Amino acid sequence: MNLDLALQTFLEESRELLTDMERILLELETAPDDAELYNALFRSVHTIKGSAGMFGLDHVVEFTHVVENQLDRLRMREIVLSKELTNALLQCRDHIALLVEIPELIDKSMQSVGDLLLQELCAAGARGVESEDRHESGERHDVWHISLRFDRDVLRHGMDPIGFIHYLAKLGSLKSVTTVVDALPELSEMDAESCYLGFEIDLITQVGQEEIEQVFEFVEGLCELRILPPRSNLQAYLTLLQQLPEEPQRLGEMLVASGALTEAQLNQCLAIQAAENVPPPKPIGEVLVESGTVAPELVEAALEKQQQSREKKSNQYLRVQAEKLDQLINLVGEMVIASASVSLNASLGGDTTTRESAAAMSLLVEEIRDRSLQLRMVPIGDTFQRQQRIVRDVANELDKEIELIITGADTELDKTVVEKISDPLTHLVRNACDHGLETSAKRRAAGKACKGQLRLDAYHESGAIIIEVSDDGAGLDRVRILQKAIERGLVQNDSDLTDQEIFNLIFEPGFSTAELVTSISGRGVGMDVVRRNIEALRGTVEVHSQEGCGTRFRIRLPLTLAIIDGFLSSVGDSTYVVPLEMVEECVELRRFSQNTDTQSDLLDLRGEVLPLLRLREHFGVTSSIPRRQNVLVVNYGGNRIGLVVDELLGEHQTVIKPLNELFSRVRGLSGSTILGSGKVALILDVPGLMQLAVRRTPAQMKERPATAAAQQISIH
Amino acid sequence: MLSGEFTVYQAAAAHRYFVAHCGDGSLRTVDLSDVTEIDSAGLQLLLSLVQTASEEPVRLVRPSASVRAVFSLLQMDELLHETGELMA
Repeated sequence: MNLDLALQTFLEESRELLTDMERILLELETAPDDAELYNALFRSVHTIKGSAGMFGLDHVVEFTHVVENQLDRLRMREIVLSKELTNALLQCRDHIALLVEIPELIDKSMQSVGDLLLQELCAAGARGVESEDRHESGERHDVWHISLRFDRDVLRHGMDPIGFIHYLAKLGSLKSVTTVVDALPELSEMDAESCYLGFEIDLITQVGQEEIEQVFEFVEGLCELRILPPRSNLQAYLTLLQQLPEEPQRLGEMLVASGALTEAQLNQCLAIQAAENVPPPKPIGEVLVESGTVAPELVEAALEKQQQSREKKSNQYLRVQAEKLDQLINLVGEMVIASASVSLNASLGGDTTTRESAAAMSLLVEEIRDRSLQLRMVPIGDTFQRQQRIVRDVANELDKEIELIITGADTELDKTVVEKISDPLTHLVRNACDHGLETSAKRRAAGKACKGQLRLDAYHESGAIIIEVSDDGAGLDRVRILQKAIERGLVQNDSDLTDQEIFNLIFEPGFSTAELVTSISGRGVGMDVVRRNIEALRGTVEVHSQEGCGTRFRIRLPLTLAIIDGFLSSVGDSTYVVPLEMVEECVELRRFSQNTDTQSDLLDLRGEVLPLLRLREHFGVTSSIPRRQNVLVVNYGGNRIGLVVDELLGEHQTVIKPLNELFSRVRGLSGSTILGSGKVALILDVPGLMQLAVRRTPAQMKERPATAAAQQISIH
Repeated sequence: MLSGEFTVYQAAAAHRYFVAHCGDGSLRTVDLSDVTEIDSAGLQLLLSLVQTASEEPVRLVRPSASVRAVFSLLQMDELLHETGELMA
């Protein structure tokens, strides 16, 4: 057996287990009574220890052994998970990660750090025992919660609900009984022989679920029965609240009154529910939330979705080497090109049957393309989850209260994109925690809830994925930003800028100065890097902010990096591709509006000024100007320019091939592709061209027509 | 004054009686001292009666042992009153 390969597997497995461990620890903060989570936590460390032992990684085994012991005690309920213990465990997790990832680093200092961590862990565990003792003296021992809703017809069938409760009382002792009379109508409207009653019962008993269910055997079908076992977690109660016909708020109060839930737990429950209640940020959704009339369907949908995502987690996975997948996608790319060539030849010279077969094949190819690209798609959830830890740590460090709300964790996008977006995202999250959200005291003073909210959201929008990072903090300081920008010479003193333009200044390179971190409400550090990273993924980022209400960063990313839908056009013998989503319209460039001497660089497009960029000049195409020319109106980030080309050739599935480094200095190109005919087409870098078109004065354009070397490449 | 069994078999008649006397204010107390048996139908009638007549409260008074047993099983003892004027 190849040891290296096995070691690699061990590394990957450990990484996954450590991620699990972190997730579980954070989850336990909201659901501290979920026994299954404790088991999973124990198993994760146990497995790492076992595997490490096989590879003779003694230091890992030693360290994890102590951690495992503590987790075992947690699992056996000998100690409780205090905040302190969670902290210690998280730190131990990080230490295990270090030990596993970089075994070369193991030295004395590492050892002592580890020992220190373990001491802390054991101390925290020991204190957990004490608090547990106090906890134990309370009640809540094997209390079953039973929800009963009787059918209207139950009395007519000769059954008496009270009888069942009588019988139930014999199984143990009834801790509390609440008769639910919400369905009971006014006396005059009531049918005396229908049953309108429901009961919420807490029963202290030693018998199991089966025996309790047996009590109600006779009324099966005539009674809605829900049983929550002792120590159910909040989620179970939440689901119960959701399923019962009465208002959750009212039911919740009943549960509190009966002692099944504490006030705090109820609030948490309702908060969770409220969080799930938030619809994606569509205008109509906002309106609904504001007017407080969110339809119950939304809640159901949200819960259902959550259910689905849980089911998905338990799905079977097949581990495939990333390399193999890349090879496959490369081949699919080639196939798309080949298929384009077949279609071309079929339409040129083939008979009807050939053409039909070609059309059928290209449909299939398209589907294969989509499916294989989907193989690379992974949910963004893990990346979001990682932020949870960062938020927690930063909040602890700065002594702020921050709640992270994650929505759209199921949204899928290309693995490469997910990996590369992680850093910018972390940056934005950190910034939001650090500078965006205020301290509790400040928030109170501003009349907001003490706990700051940070939202991470992802969703699809017309062929792209949108990731939003928003906080309900202080918002950007418009005046300070403008002042700073003027100081740095980024804008003119008297320039008339919209708020939006001013906010976007924080992405300018000149803004990343250390001074800014402390003096302004933040957001200056490395924002240009964030933008650069996002743009490298062919994405965009924009910021919206409202003073006192918060800031929202909106990142827009393409679904995949490998293949785009493009629009083909030609100048002379060269063919160019523009990403289809950027093309707004095509117009003919009429002779009369064209001053042939100075080559006017502006076009009057229905009364709007449209800057023109002549690709013939820009790329130094030498062929003569044809009688008719066309303008491709492209839109990027709200700006429009016109690209002057000879001919418009229509849509084309484009497999992006990177350009050789030789061409890295050529401005305005982002890649190349191969057409069905075997010719090379160049993919235009629209944002780059846009900068050129806007900045260049006509005079400069005449002086320096860019001479692109990429002119005459063709495949032989 | 209710007497004897107060179960699903008597519920329809009792319901008619309650409806007839609830609106005019003549029904202020229900004497339960002679009730030998009460079931869910009887119980929910009483509950609805108390609920409906919230403006001129109806009091459930002098529960018999069987009535008391049911109410205490369901932990609703506070709805019962030991004494009270007898029904008009």
